[in-house]
Amino acid sequence: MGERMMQTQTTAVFSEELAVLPTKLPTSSTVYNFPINRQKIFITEPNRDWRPAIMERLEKLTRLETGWDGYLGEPVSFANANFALRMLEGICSKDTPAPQIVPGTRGDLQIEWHTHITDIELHVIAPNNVHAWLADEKTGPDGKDFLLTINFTEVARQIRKMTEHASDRVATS
Amino acid sequence: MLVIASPPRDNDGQVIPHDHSEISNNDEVIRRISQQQTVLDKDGQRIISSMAYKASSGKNGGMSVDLKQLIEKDGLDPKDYVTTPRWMGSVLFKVSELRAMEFKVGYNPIEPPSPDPNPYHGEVWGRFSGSQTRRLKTLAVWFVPIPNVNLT
Repeated sequence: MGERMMQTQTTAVFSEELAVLPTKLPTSSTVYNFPINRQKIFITEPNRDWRPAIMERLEKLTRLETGWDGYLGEPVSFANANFALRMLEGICSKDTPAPQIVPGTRGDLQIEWHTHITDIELHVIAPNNVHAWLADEKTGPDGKDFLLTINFTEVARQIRKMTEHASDRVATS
Repeated sequence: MLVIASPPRDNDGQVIPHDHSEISNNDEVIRRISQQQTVLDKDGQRIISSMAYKASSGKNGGMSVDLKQLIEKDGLDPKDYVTTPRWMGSVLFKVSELRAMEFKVGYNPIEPPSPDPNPYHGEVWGRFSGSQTRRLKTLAVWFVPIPNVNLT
C-alpha cells in the first residue's frame, strides 16, 4: 500500500505535465553509499535556503498525535508532505522567504506567506489537489480562490513578485 | 443527562450535514484552537491561521465545534471541558451569525470506541471559501485565549 502510494505520488510530482514549473533549478548532490551492493547513488536536491527548516517542520507535522486539534485531527500524511515539498521546490526560488505550514485535520496541510504586498495560502488537500487563495492590492482583502492541479504558474508568479519585493527591501535597508 | 435528538445519518452511518432544529440561534459554538494552527502575520504578530476555520476534507466533512449550551445543560463548565487536559485555546461563534452566512450547524457526537469521545461535538457545514474564512475570522471571539496570539 505504502509502496503503491509512493509510486503514484512520484509519477504525479514529476510528470511531464508538471514541467510547466521551473525545471532548471540550482541543485546540490548528495552521495549515498550502500555497502551491501557497493553502489553509489547520486540524489540531486534543489538548493534552497528555506529547505532544511521546511523539511523539519513537515517531519514534525507527520508525527502529530491523532487528536492533536482537540477533535479527531490526524497527522499530516506523508504523501501530502512530500507533494508540498516538491511543489515548493517547483514554485519557489532560492531566496523566497520561508513559508509557514499549518496542519489540517485529515492529513492535509496549508502553506502560507503573509507579507506587506501579498498574502498567499496554498491548501494541499491531496497531491495535485491544491486550493489556492491570494490577496494583494489588486484583489482587495477578500482575495481570490482557485484550484490548482498541475499548472502552478499563477502562484509561482505571485511568489516571484513577493520574493523580488523582499530582496528590494533587504537591498535598500 | 444529554437530551438532544440524534442527527440524520447516511447508509454508512456517517452524519449527514444538517441544521439541527434543537440548536438555537441564540446558542454558541466553541472551536478549539491548537498552537499548531497559529502563524505570524506580515507584522510578525502571531495570529490564528485561516486553516483553523476550515472544514475537514473528506465525506460530509465540516468544521468541528463543541456545542456550548449542551455542555452547560449537562452541568459542566465549558471552559474546563474544552481545555482539559491539553487544548490551549478556543474561540466562540454565535450560531445566528453562522447561519446568516448560510452555514449549517449540526450535531455529530464522537462516540466510543473513539479514544476521545465527545457527546457535545457538533459540526459547521457550508462553503469555506477564502472570503468566508476571512469573515469567520472577524466573527470569532476568544473563549480561552492563547497567550500572545491575536484573533486576526
